Amino acid sequence: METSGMMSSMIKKVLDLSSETVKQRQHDVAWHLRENGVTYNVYKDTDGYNRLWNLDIIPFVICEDEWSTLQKGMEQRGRLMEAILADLYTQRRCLSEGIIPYQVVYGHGGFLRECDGLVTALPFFAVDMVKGADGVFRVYDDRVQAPSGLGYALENRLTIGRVMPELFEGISIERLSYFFETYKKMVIACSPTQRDDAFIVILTPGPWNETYFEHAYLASYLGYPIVRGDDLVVKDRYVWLKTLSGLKKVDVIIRRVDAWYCDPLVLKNDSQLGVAGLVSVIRDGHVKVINPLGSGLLENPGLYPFMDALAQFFLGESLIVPQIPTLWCGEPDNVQKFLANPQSYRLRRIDQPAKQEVNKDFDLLCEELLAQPSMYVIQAWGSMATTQVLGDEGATQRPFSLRLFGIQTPVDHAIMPGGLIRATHNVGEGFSSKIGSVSQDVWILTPQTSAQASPMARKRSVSSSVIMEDLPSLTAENLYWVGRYCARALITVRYIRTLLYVMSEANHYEYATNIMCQRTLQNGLTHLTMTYPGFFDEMTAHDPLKHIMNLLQDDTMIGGLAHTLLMLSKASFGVKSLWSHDTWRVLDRMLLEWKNPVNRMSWRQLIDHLDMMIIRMVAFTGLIHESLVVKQGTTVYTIGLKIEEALLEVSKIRSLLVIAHDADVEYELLEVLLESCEALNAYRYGYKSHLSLENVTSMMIVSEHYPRSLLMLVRTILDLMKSLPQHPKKGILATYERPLFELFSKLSLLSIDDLLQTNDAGIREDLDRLLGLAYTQLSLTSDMISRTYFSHSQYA
Amino acid sequence: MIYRIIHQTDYTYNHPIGVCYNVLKLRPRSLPFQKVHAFHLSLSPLPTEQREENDFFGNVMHTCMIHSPHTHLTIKTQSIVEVMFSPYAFPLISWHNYKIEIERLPAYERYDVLSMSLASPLIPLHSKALEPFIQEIMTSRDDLYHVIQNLLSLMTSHFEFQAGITTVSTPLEEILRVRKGVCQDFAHVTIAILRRLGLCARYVSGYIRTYPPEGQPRLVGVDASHAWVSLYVPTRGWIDIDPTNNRFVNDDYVVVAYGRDYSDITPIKGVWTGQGWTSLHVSVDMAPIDEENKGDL
Repeated sequence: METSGMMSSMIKKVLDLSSETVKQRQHDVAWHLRENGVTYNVYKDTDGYNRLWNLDIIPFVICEDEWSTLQKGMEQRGRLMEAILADLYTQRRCLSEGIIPYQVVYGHGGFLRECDGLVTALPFFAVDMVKGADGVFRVYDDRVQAPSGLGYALENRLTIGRVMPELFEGISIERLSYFFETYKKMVIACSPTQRDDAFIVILTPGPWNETYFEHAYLASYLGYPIVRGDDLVVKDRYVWLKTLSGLKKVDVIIRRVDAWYCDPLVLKNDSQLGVAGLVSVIRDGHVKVINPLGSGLLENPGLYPFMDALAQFFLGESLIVPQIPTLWCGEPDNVQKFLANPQSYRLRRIDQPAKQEVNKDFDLLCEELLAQPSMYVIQAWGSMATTQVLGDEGATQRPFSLRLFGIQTPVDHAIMPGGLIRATHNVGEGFSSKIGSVSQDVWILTPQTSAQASPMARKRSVSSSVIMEDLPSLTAENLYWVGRYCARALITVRYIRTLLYVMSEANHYEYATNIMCQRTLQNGLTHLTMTYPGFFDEMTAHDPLKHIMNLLQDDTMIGGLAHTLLMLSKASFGVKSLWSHDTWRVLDRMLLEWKNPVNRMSWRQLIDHLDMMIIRMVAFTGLIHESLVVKQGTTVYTIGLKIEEALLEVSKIRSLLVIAHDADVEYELLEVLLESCEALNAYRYGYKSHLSLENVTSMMIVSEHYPRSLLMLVRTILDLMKSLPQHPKKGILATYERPLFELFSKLSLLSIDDLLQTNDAGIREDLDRLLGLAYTQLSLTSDMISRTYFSHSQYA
Repeated sequence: MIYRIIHQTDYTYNHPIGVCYNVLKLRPRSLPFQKVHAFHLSLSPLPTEQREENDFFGNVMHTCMIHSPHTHLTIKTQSIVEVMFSPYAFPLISWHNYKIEIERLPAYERYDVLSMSLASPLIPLHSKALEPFIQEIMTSRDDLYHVIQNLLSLMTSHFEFQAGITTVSTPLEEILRVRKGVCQDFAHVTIAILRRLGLCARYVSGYIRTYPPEGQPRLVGVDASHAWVSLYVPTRGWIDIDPTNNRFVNDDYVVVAYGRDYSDITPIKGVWTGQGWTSLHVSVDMAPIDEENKGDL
């Protein structure tokens, strides 16, 4: 069947559905994408990161004949680009033979002189094309640095398969999974050793990148760890991944970082995204980067006017898929053509993507063009064919672009039988996903029988063992801080809730006692959050509620709850790929609720608000435990959690109990201390007596029966540290264990009665000294773990 | 003329640095008119790894990695360089034939030269602020030499040498506005004007000999790194001019590296892990020596 016939029968199928059903299906698509976390981050967008990917329910169909041409055209383009690249970084024959002008090479920002001689292959590439009204596909851009879109294409197929199963009835389409097997083979073939056990990583700029979803998605689909520049280090002429268990040699880096940022030593000096010394390891042939640094020279409209000549020069062939008509402005005639008739051309700089020039002031553009004409080309896009999309307002025709993907194979090139359609409202805006166009799944019809044509393109057959035993250090560090911030947030909220109880009950108690108690608790809050001067400032103490609201809501106040939540969300975002969906959902909800400002609330409402927060926090911490499948991950997360719990417990006991008060106040403070630790019931159960200073202190500090006593927390941390990788043999203490072991011994030998002696000034000096020591040893431990496992200063 | 040059850079960090990587472009170039009799590079602490390569422009590039914690880093080079300068006459080049002459160069040389007429990372060419200067130096005389003379005197009359106003990251546009700066800024502005005229000009880093005031001894360690401009002149080759000192280069100058602009020849580029600040001290000493001592550092 012809494409047009196929399309119309497909669209008919969709239109035959009731409008209610169509709406429901569109809704299902959106739901499905959200469930899978398919996002496209848009910088400076109001939605911030995590904007949802947009997919239409009608697929785009390409018939066999048309595909056969496109496929051959793509294979040819792969060969051609490889030939151009290899030449431009070695002999530069196409310059000396006069095929292309020198300006489009030497003037292009992607020409990395530091990589001269190092760019010989182009393992993976993508090509963007549009279809003219005459039915001919034409290339308007090559994507070679780090082409994106594979993950989105895969997810599109899966989503349509789930939501629109009836569309697959009676037709056969090419499946995508085989392409990914070929991709993995290509990566192995690229590795210096060419062995199956080559260690391969995906280098990402981080979760804030616009296509981070795809980096994480491909990492898990292909089974490669996802890393950031800081995770890697160059030493002894190799690149190494810093993991909790030590350094691991890296063979191949699949980069999603622009070349210019990849090595701060010889490329962009202030880049935080790269690995210092990477280029020298590439030079030694000890690591392969896909695609090679320097390949960005081919993202170069300056080459397009000469593409046919280049094909003739290198391959002795004409282009199978032609180029959009492009003229180089280094020729004065072409500048005149543009100035005489600007609306029929699109003016583009040779080293910037298609969309950049759109919004610029025309006069300014002309000025820049005339100052450096050789840096510009003009393209005549002409009128374009459209695709039918359903969109929000019913079926409409829109111009579209098609992105196809190819990889190098030992024989020639393999082309993915599918791709990515992006349809836009307005061609002038370009087809960038940043501007929020809608995408369509691309179906290649095949004569083969249905065995090939199952809609379930994603059987995770490709990914072998995905779970990485060795956690990258940066990931581990983020998990550690997720643990610490979780504990800090939860303990801070609980403390504030208790404080608010006391403040709201001012009328019910004997006045002086309550005031004294409030003061002590408020000062304790300042100690706990380390937001000095806080309540020690007279002015603040005057309007305590206002200050508490600031602590809750002002995320610039370091140590306050809002700030802690901000840091928690940052640390969580950094390890996004490890969470389950539910974990994210709870965190999302919690942060969203907390963002809504709560002005002028009653005591009751405020306390309810905090209650809700506590429930979400508890759910979140529970879900983390459940969803962390990497054992090392659970270990560092829990160590973080317990260290923070212990630190804050020390801080609370110290601020509430070191200074002796009269019996009423003291009783009150003991109750509050237990309540803020959710330990009141445990006390009543364990001691079956009234609150006494001796019992409470004993329970909170040295009890072996109360799991949150300082002694037990320290013991838990010590146990956890034993399961850290590279831990010394049994019976030998690691350096980072010493401080806590010392604290543990001290706590074990303690006499509570001695501890509670007061001096003449009414201060329990021994208690203070002990808690001070505990605080120091815990902080020291945190510091040592960071240095040993996260920053790897001992390898450095 | 034979010189002994000692160039020492000292970094002090207030926190220990764990890993430190440096790329150095400090070795004077071997050129037809410049012979390097001896060169020695030393780092303290000793680098764990060190390698030597040529960069794209033919400059010698040392990559040094230090993997042991340190709070102090010294990079020291000692060179003995002979400059064989012979006076020449600036050829008579018609303005209009400039590009045509260059197109006649053999292919292997043509693009190295031509590419020096293009914008580069630190020298964008679209600035409007360049226009008045271009107007000022262009005359009715169809003679390259005349234009260069005009350009040199324009730099002297419009720009003031003053340290501390600009840094290595001050954009060209800003330098054109404040009209003050150091040799690097003078070189960048001069190159921008030359390239806007369609001429091929490159950036040169190196050393310049300083003369003590009459009757006083030469002070040690007060010389400095210098930067100037090299212009391609058909039939003659690269001719160096020093816009900071309003003169053509002679045997007072030693060439270290060539590039499109400062970013290509940065003498010391470093990346280190660690926090805190660093302080920097540089000393350069350039002394003429006798023929018989040229073998000893």
